[in-house]
Amino acid sequence: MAHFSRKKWRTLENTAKIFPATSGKKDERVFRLSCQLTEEIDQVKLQKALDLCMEDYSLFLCVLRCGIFWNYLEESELKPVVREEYRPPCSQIYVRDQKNLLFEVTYYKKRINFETYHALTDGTGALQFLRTLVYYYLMEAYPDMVTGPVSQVQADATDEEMAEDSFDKYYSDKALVKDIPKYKSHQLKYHRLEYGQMRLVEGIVPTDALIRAARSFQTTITVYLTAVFLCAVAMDMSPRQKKRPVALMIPVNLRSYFPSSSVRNFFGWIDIGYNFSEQSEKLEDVIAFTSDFFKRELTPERIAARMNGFMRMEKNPFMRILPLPLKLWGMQAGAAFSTSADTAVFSNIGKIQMPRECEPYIDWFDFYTSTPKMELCMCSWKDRLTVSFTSGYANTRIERNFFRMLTGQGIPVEIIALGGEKGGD
Amino acid sequence: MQYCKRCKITVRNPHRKCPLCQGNLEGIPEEENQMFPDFTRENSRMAMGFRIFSFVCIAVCVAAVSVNWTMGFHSFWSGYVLAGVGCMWILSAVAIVKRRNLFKNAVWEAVLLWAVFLFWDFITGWRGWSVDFGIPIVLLAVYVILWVVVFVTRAPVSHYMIYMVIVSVGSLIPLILLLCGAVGVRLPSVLCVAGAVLMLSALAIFKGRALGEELRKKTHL
Repeated sequence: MAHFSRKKWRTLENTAKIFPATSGKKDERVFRLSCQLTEEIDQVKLQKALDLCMEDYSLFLCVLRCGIFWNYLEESELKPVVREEYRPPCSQIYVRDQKNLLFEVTYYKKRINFETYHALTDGTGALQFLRTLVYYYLMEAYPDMVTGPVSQVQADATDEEMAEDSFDKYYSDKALVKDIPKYKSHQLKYHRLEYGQMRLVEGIVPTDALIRAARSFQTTITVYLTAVFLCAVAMDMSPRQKKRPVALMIPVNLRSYFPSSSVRNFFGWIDIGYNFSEQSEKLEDVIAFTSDFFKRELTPERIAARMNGFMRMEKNPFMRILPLPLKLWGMQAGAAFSTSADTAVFSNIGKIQMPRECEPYIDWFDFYTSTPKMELCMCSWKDRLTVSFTSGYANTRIERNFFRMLTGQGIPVEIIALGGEKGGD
Repeated sequence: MQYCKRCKITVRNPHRKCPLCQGNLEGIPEEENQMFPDFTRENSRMAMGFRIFSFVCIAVCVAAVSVNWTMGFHSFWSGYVLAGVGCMWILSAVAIVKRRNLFKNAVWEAVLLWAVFLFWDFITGWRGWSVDFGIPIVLLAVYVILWVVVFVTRAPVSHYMIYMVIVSVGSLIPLILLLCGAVGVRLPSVLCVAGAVLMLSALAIFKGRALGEELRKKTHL
């Protein structure tokens, strides 16, 4: 397998291969992780921090190129430049034929944004990068208080381990895929926003209030929010639409199951489907189902079975010898046919931790992605948990249902919204 | 901060209506809580320019056919206008779509120019100028353009290597034509083949490792 350090280029990992095929105006396959600090950002200091950060993450300095059979990432001499935020979140980053870096660091007022094309890294890799960047920035901005060492926020891994293709490492063709649930799910049929536009509705909630609400149902925040999301979609469905299940795609960080320090893509996903015409519509029953489903599916064996399923496709010799343009069309067609598998996506990168000395300077973290349908992303930092909806739809009924269910439980919600309001923002 | 009574939420960044239910908000919007800059978009000038160009192309075609028709179709000269405008439009469209990679652009344009020359030679009663001059001169021009771009932009080897290889391999076509005896005037074709041999040997001798690496990269399975 290609090792970046020696060869100066590397192949795309398994799940990353789909991104060049399916990214376009409808879905740029870009996600943003950002950190809201308590004071205004200083561009010069941020640039310094970024330069330091690039020494630790030199494998992010690459461009995406086309080969005859596959795309690949090639090391580049380009250096990232910090800019003030200048275009809508999750705008296009990968431009065909243009050799530019696949990530961008911008800032606006008190916020540092890290946006990346998904073929470069996944949420975990991006988060590790952002934590390092924020730490370097705080060291620049508050040298007396934040003194390092920066290794506190970095994984204990060599450059080679960080650049490892963990799919390749853990692939085995032994475990056969069996009874992986598949759905023909309900599709949201709302009017769309203008082509290429995205709406963001973000809620900041106190983590402990949410924990209390989840505990009152004897469950975890993840299960609770998944169930609330399922119900929020269902509340707006007609009895006829309810004949189809609501299905959520839930990305899974494979590093939790297969030890890896890679900062490249290493994620899989599970699909959870709930049929509101056959099953109970009560929140506690949806929670019970979700909780059982997670317990059953989130085991190393089941996750491995799914992962090997994705890998088998890539290892298929017929698939491999197709020239790249045919492969891209094939993947586009495959993606178009399988769109009905999910209604929406729920992505959770969990609890973010930073060294204690950084705490006074950080307000919250947030995370969201571009999407052609609807995606809910969540992360938490100390007592502030952000749930961010992005969607390409003109109305906000699901977002409204979701947040009203939270406020109905007595959880205070603070909303940040972008897009869709005529003349407003 | 603003508050929506119906949703029981506070809204941080200033809004006229509740972002969830579009109801009225209580409280005063605070400009300092603006979370995003103004993203009002400018329309791309390139896109607009190309639209105007496309429209002018169609207008020229319509005008030519109309005049031809009015005068009676004794000779179908407007057909040549259509073909000319069509070729021009295709060449420009490809040049714009591939504008971000000059090397790729040059190779695409070369292949299209071959097609255009063969087509025009054919519809003007096949005199063989496309084979004698068209094909080899396009290739020679591409050699020059590629090298000029390399020196002007100081592009690294990995950016241009594959296109040099493609163009050199493309010179097999004038070689085959020469060997088949299809070429009337030999000089341009011979120059072209000689140039390709020189270029390939230069790449192999001076950039041999990069050449091997590039081929491995481009063809990895």
